[in-house]
Amino acid sequence: MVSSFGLISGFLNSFNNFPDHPALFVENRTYSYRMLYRMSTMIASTIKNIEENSKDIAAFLGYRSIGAFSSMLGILMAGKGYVPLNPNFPNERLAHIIDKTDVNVLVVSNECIDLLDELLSKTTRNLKIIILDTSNKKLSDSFCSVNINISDPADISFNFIPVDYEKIAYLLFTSGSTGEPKGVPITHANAKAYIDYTCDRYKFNETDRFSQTADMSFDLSILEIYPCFESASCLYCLPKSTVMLPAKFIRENQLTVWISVPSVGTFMDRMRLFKPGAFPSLRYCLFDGEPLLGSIAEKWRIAAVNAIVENLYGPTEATVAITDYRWEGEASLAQCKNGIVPIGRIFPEQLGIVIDENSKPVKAGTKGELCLSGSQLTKGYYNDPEKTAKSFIIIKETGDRLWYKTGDVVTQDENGCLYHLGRTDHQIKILGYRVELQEIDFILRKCSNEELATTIAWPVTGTNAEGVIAFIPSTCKLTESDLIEKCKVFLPAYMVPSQIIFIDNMPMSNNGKIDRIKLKNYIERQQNGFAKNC
Amino acid sequence: MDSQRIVEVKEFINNFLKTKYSKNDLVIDDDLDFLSSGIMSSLDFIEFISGVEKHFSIEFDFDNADPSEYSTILGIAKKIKG
Repeated sequence: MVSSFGLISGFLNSFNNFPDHPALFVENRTYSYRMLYRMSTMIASTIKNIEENSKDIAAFLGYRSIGAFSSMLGILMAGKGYVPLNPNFPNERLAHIIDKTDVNVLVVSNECIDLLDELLSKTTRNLKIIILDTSNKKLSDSFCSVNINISDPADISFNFIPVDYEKIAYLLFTSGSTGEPKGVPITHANAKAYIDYTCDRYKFNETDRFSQTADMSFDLSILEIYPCFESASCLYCLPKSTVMLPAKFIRENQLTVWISVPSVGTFMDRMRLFKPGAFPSLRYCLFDGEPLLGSIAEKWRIAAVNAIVENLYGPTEATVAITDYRWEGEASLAQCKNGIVPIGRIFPEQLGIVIDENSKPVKAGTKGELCLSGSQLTKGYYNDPEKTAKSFIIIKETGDRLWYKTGDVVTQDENGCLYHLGRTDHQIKILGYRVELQEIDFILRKCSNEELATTIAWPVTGTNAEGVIAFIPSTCKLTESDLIEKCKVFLPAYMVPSQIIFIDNMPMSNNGKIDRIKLKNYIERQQNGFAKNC
Repeated sequence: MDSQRIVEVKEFINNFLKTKYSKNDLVIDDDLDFLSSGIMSSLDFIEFISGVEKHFSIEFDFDNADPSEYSTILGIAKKIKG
């Protein structure tokens, strides 16, 4: 039994026990545990060979491809934590992440080679580049290249070294209110606490088939990938365009575990995909990343007639999820607040407390901010003591324990069930991604040279938004499309405003702040007027 | 392929994109994939497909099809024709 290699232990166990069992279906090919193991060890071995000064983390650039999966596993096998770089994000953002982190190795999957020159021109760091050539073409003379025959990868010997569980297993970046993404380091101890709990709760096994819908830069991917590999199950990576309407894929591949952000259900509902008994193969439907509507949870229950439907909640800082709520049909519908499914109870081994604005614990039934602690919690932001001090606090009544302030407003009932009511700040979720509106404001001000540039999330359901609309003083010299193009240079697509409204007089409240309520009323009026004209 | 249908679909898409993004000069080839090319987000695509269904008084069958079968002008024209 392999247990001292942290996040990768489960994969190594499954490889030892079920080497020829399918591990991964991606880009229309299936890879066994043996094949994936071999490809990953080739990468691990190359990292070890080219690195002069060993660092704790290494980055990879890849998008849900065989190259991306084997890079991620290869970095872990080399005894390092991984930093996933999402090629769909602007190069400016990726370069910023590289510059902020202490990496000197970047593994590049062959679908991303065209992005490399521009990315390297923007980073100040001197990187050792490993090109993963799965296409068997000679792709580059200037970088170290690993040629992998994906049909029959070479078998090399590799010496695994046990990892320190307090070291980083992965480092993800989330939206930050000061205009810079924040690094959240998750240790092997954090990740293992979460994965062990999850595997124990759901008892996945080698006959399970998991969906894989989340980008690797999004921590929902941790729930999809590692419990699957730990259980010797097979991971089915959905093509990007299939994720939103996956009915055919679920049935064709007889998936047993569905994991996604709740928005997918909303898309499926609009296209009439929730027919009674439509997905009989599913055993579990797990949702995380944003508020789940009760109406959508009920539709999943009726369509996935043999499945347990659960709503999970947790910030990236607490490793994917730290509460769960099992959907029980009619009884649960009655428990929803504002149509939103409760986030449920804190995992038995973890801790949660609700506090008021003076950081004092509140009684059951009183609104307050949720704070979290326990083995799944990160100790703080990556190289950022200032932001860490702001978000990680001591609550006098609980001794010297450190708590993470989530910024989520909740109430807790007498049975310990938590209900999510909103945010204490301007953070919203778009397609499961955390978005700080101040980060978009910051970029917008930079691009427009207008200090009063402001964004409004629109349309919004609870803390979920479909997108953002920007307001810019009409003195701005740029056109709407110019500004949108400029924003695309710095922001991932889901953060780029879908519309820009130029306004003569920015409404201000009595205390001198931009009056967001008036701006929201403006959008409503504009859309009503538009509807009438149509 | 019904060329009249292709023209209709193309016109609908251009109007959709024009209203949505104020893009007047977008040239879309018949086989350009709106999703993989990044022209449309998932949300835009759902909105667009709902619009096509309404406009052509048709209901597409995503129970037995992947979105990629509907993400080009040719693909949609084929489905409407059927």
